[in-house]
Amino acid sequence: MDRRALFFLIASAICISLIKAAPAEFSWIPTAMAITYAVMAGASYLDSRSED
Amino acid sequence: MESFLFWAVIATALTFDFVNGFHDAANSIATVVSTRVLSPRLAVIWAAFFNFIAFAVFGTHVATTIAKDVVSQDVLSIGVIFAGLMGAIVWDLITFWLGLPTSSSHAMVGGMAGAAMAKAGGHVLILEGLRKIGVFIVLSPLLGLALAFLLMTAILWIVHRYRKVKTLNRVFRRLQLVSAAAFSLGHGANDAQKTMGIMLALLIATGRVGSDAEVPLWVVLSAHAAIGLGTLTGGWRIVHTMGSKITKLQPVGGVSAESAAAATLFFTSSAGIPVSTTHTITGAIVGVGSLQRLSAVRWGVAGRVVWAWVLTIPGSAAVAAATYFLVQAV
Repeated sequence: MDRRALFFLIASAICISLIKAAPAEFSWIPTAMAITYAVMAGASYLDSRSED
Repeated sequence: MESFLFWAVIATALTFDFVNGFHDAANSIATVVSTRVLSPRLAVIWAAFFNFIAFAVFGTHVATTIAKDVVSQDVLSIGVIFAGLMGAIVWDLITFWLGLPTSSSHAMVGGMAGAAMAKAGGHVLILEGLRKIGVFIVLSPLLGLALAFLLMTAILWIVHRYRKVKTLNRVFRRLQLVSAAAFSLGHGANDAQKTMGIMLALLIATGRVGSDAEVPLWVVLSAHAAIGLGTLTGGWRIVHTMGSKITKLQPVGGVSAESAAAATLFFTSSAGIPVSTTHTITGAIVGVGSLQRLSAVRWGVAGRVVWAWVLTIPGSAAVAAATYFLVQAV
């Protein structure tokens, strides 16, 4: 798997793990970031596939 | 005697702020200097100016968080605040010697918590406030990274058909003036407010203001003046660029990284969340670097940031607790 995609996937997982930990008023931030990183991971993976 | 101790702790807090400006100036001006948009001297004047005027743009929410949301106000005393501050300073010096890119903000939070626990035990910690700070220790660099990556992607997508590379570089070199100013504004807002928080805690502890008081204007001005003067005094000597330490930046990358870090700092400052400005810009630079290729990022530096996350709060808390016991013994 593309290393950059893997890195973004791990970042997404970290953000998911912080959703519960974040105070209620700020929980939307790790949620939005988890989604963003997941999209970035997907895009990065597709980018690397297109270069092969 | 009480008055002497009060002013001694105020002077120590402002010195801490001064050193913060001295040390972190390179973060905001590195790219402007390395691309020769401004001379080092002009660049630090530029950064110091925006450090100082941040007080007029942002409120004092971060200061309030430091003063009121870390430990219970009942436990605050000159001894606790002095020990907390010393914990942060000593920890910063130790990690500077070890080469860890530590955060003064995290050290200050750890120091306050450690000194307060040494005096009265763990129940004085305000878990809700610490939770907010702890979550954003990890989130702020990740936020900077994602924003920088997305911004850089958007910019490259917009200009990719434009063939006049020289013109583009000239435009982005100029834009760095704006992004560096924005980052300096965010740096001044978030970092100066941490010192304000310590000073406000001291004012409350000594009964000079009430526990629900706002930050007095002289505290705001002196904290911003200290960080601005620190930037002005030391910044130009330490322009060994943050950019080239992590990944090599072009003007477009500098603009993206600084803008993303500035946006993160604007948000956290407005929301009253103390974050590390160094870790935020580090995340943003990694974001720009990872757009080129992941191997362009020097992961050793990024990895040391993670170690700094893990070690700083317990480390500075331990130093602060030891300092508190020492002060009590003396």
